Amino acid sequence: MRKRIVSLWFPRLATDRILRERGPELGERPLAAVVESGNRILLSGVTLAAEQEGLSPGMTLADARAVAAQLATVPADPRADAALLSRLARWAGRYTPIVARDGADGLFLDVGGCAHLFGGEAAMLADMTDRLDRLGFAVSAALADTPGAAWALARHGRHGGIAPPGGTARALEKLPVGALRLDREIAAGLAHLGLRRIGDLYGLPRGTLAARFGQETVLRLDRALGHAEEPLEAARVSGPLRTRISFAEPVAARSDIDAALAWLLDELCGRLEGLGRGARRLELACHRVDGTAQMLAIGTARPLRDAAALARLFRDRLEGVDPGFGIEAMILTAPVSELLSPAQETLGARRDTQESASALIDRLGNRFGFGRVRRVAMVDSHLPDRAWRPVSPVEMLETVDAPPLPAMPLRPARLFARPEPVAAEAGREDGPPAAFRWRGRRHAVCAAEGPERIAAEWWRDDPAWHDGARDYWRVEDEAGRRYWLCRAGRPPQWRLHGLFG
Amino acid sequence: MTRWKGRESLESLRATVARIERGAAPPSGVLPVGVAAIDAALEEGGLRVGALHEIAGPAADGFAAVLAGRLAARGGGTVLWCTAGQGRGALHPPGLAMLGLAPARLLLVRCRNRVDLLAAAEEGLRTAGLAAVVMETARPPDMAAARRLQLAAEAGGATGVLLCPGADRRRGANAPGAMAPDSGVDRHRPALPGRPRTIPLGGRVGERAAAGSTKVEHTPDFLPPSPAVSRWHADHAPGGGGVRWRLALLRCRGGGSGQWKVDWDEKTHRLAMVPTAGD
Repeated sequence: MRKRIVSLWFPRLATDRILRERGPELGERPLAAVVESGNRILLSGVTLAAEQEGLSPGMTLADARAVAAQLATVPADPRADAALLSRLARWAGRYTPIVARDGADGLFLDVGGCAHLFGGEAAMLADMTDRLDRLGFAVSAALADTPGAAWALARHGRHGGIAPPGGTARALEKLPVGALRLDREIAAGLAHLGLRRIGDLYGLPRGTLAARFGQETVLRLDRALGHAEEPLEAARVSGPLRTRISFAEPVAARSDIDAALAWLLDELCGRLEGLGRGARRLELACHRVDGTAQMLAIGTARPLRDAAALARLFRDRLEGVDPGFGIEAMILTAPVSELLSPAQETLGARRDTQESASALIDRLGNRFGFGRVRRVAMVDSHLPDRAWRPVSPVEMLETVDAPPLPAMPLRPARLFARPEPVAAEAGREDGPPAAFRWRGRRHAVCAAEGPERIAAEWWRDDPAWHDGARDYWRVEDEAGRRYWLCRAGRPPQWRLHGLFG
Repeated sequence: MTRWKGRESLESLRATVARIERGAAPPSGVLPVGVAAIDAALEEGGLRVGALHEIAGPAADGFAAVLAGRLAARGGGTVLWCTAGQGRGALHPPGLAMLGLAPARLLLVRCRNRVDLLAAAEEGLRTAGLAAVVMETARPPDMAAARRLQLAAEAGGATGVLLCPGADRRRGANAPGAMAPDSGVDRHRPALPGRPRTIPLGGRVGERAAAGSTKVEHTPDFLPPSPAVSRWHADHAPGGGGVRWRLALLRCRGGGSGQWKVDWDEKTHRLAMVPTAGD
């Protein structure tokens, strides 16, 4: 495929953006975007009206005010300009899939093989400039065999223009050497020698040209003429992960909404698959005929692109949707997505149980809140209240190959957050109590095992352990129930910390 | 009109009816409890997997942890443990590990209320590949809710364990004359409205229970109806020094009942009958 490159140049991108944001009537008076540079304020972009007054980018504000006293200024925002250029690059995707950004104010489009879809190159270029003009952008467009030539024609040609295939050298010969994207100094140096036009360089011996003005000059010339390859770095255009469905007639039935959601999810999952990603969060907006929108959101514990599983997560949320007089459009967005390798979709039987557990976590988390679903992480601490901590299941999906637990002293199956005081009847000295009263009932101690001394972790300041080390006893009452009693403090206090299963 | 003759015909008719009743339930396995005497009493030689079981009594959570641990170790997979409220103290996974339930297998869900708990449990039971779902409720769910859980377990294949530590299902436990020593644990549970039985005070029923007899102490009319495949009462038993339970199988689909005293060995993770001589 022969390359044909369009160069789009937006000479007034910064001010066009401001006019688009604040209304075109602002452009009737001279307006400039200004940027502070050192202790001067420079114009970075000017509107057409300002240009007609004789202003140009690069002037100081003081000079500009001297020329046009009624000049209005707006601070420049290069980041917003760059974002706008990215949006324009996405827009240009309507002509060709290969779109590259060119500096801060231009685009390259490789339209080789695309032009006939728009009625030929001239028609396509006219269509582009028409549409951009209607959108409020000043634009200069040119078409040539190489990016260098298109760039030169867009910026220095008379009203852009088209260089026919193979006609690059001819199209460029009248243009100034500055159109070769050369440094200002080199261009000035060439002009100083009388080499003002690109055509003047054609006949020169390349060796001397390179020796005198650097390899770069020769390379630029070769690239413009197509003797050297200049690859385009096509921006990977991936719009937001969003799908939309509009209904000819507003829908209200739950079955219709379900069907529409299934369709949206299918679309979105197809796109996610193409990108090798999975959604972590999905947002569904149901736009009603009365102009209001209802938003639903779901989250997942791991990247997911299984339409059926995602539909299940939405199932409960959809109950809350009030269609009112009908829903006319639904938009599904995946604001958060993560890489999901295709390998994960081929599951062994072993993987299956994990997969089902994480699907369960998703459903429970979306229904009751992810904060209520917890896995257990063991902590290397001898304090019973710090022996484990609840962790988000998102952090800890792998459960199958947990290492065997180290041998531990016996621990109760239930633990009170803070040990409950009991009234103890004294037993042997330093031994367990003979009986204790807990929650209003007396328990005679029939058997006891202990003590197990547990000391506070001195490197941590834990208010629960301020009364020092505790002596723990496992005691059994007359009914065979086992309790975990501890004695601590001065004078010693008995407290009940847990119940054995 | 076909005349059904003989035992085979009757069996096949029963199988057909069962299939119609529950759709084509996949053949699911059986989990031996690990004590020969208990497994013999259970008609299928163990607890049915992919079904609902109910455990009442003060030691219910311990026995449930043992069963869930065995289920998880058997087929791999996660144990979903649903709780609502923490009146009995929070679960302590290291303690559950002593009962054979590995903490890494646990997935805890803290539910706001009973309705959420039943919904979470149903979600879990419907999830294929989950080992067990343990539900901690103050009072057992009503028949309709329990039936839902049972159907969910059949559909998903996970085993449901319904814990009602407060409920004492044994005969006479709530009779006015039965002066059972209170467990203390449940004493502060408020009486629930709309329920004629007072909230039972768990604990021993006099000395009859301590006799270690294998005679079952209940009559079927006393048990409130439940679709659970097997229904247990687990209480602590004195002596032994370690974990000792008195397990009563109150009812089991297909017949079978009994009462046993078992010891849990925290090192080998096995249940064993307490020798009668040492009783």
